Amino acid sequence: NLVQAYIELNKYCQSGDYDRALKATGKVLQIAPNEQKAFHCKIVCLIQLHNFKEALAVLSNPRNAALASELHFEKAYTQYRLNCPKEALQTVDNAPELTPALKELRAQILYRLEQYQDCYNLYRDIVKNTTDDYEDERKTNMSAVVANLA
Amino acid sequence: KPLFFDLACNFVEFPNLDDKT
Ligand SMILES: [K+]
Repeated sequence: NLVQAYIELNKYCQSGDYDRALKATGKVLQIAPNEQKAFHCKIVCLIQLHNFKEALAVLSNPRNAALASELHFEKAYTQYRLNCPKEALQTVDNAPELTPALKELRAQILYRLEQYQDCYNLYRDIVKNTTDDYEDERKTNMSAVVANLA
Repeated sequence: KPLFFDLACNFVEFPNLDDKT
């Protein structure tokens, strides 16, 4: 049943077994096609498996519009990885709220678009307001932006 | 070309499934 299918999915998500987790999302969605969380897991699996093309195709399929409606970050990230920074920026800026994840991605998109001053300003804002495990890497990114500004 | 990390990838996370299991 549905709970059992989710228990199996949860097991593979927690162990990072993305192939089996992806299959498990299929089982859940076969039982209950409108399960937003299973759909979200499916997209995460496709991204972790670096199948960005499939992830974007699934997210953009009109049949999945309701299921995909909250996955702004995941959609923008797949567009970014597929070297479509303009489309990625549009997706980010169409999101109802600029979450920390969307902010981080927006900075990377601006770098890819060579909008270095905007990118620098956004990183300044992120650094000022963030405490996490990525502070050193973020400083490296800021150095790259500064090198391009000079 | 300066080093530039993809930090956004760390925000690609599974949703919490506690309420489903
Ligand atoms: K990751």
